[in-house]
Amino acid sequence: MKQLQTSVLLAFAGMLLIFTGTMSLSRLTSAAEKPATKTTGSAAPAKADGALFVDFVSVLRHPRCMNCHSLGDVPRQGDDGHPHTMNVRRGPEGHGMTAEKCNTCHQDHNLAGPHMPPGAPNWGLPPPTTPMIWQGLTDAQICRSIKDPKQNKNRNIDQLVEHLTSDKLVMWGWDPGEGRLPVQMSHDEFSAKVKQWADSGAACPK
Amino acid sequence: MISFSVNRQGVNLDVDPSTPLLWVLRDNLGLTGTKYGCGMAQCGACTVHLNGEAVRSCVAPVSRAAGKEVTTIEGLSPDMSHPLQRAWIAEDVPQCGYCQSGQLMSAAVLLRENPRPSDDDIDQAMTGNICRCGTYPRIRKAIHRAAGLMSTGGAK
Repeated sequence: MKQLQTSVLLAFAGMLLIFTGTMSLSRLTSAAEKPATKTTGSAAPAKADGALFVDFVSVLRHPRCMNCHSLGDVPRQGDDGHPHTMNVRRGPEGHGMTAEKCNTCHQDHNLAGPHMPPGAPNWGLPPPTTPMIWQGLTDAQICRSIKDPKQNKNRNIDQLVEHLTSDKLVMWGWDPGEGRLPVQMSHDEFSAKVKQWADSGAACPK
Repeated sequence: MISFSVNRQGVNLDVDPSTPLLWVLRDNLGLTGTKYGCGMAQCGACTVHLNGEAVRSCVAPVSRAAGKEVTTIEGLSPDMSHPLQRAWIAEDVPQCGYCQSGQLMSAAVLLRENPRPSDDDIDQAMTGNICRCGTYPRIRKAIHRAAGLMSTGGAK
């Protein structure tokens, strides 16, 4: 009987040891996660250094966007960004001039077939007063230009996010019609990254 | 039913809204002065005015004209008196003539925006209208002549 009592006590002590050990291990694991949390916390400096902008700047540099944000007063075409045929120019409002305005040929939708004019609502370039030229700029310069109300048609950050994520002309980049490469990052991923950047302070790279 | 105005006359048509405006003008309304060239907005032969602006009618769906004013070469003037038409005749511009209605409609928009264009202005503005006969020097000359007619009150 005494032996039985000793065995029960030993078993209980063993269970207690296992329980205590598990708790200790659990605390160790939690402690190990804390640096991870700190790593996330250390994303705070990453936010401040503009890394979240760099995460999606490849979209802004894609030909579907850059062809209308390029150097000079002409739109560009194709995946190689060659100047628009027919000497099409920016014009006084960004919609071409004389008999070569954008909607002379472009509709508010893509036309079916190869080499047919693509289209979306409000097809055109930024106006000459705010040409929003990105070609040749660093990531930091692009970031500062899209945030600058003097260059971005007086948009605040919320309006900038809306333009980047919801404007039908911008969204055309994901559905550019036959013969043109769509923007490679998915629209959902791009929108999420833009919103994350804006929500964390919209910092620009140095 | 789509309603719009063509050369200042109202029309109501029961056509598929996606039909190119060019086919409606030519086939439904019999206005064959506007030509089919490339069918992809590359050559300018089909240029007409939509609310005064040049449009390539081969790619513009007729739905785009709803409630608007379309002007074709037949409506540029009621009696061939537009300065461009007079200048075109005086300079004997056309050779085969196929592209000329589109050339005239584009030139009319150019002169409205720029009444005294330079050679460069004309070359820039007319680049989108192709002429396989190569009448470009005469087109340029006629546009200068039309600009002169307009500036001296020669326009009716």
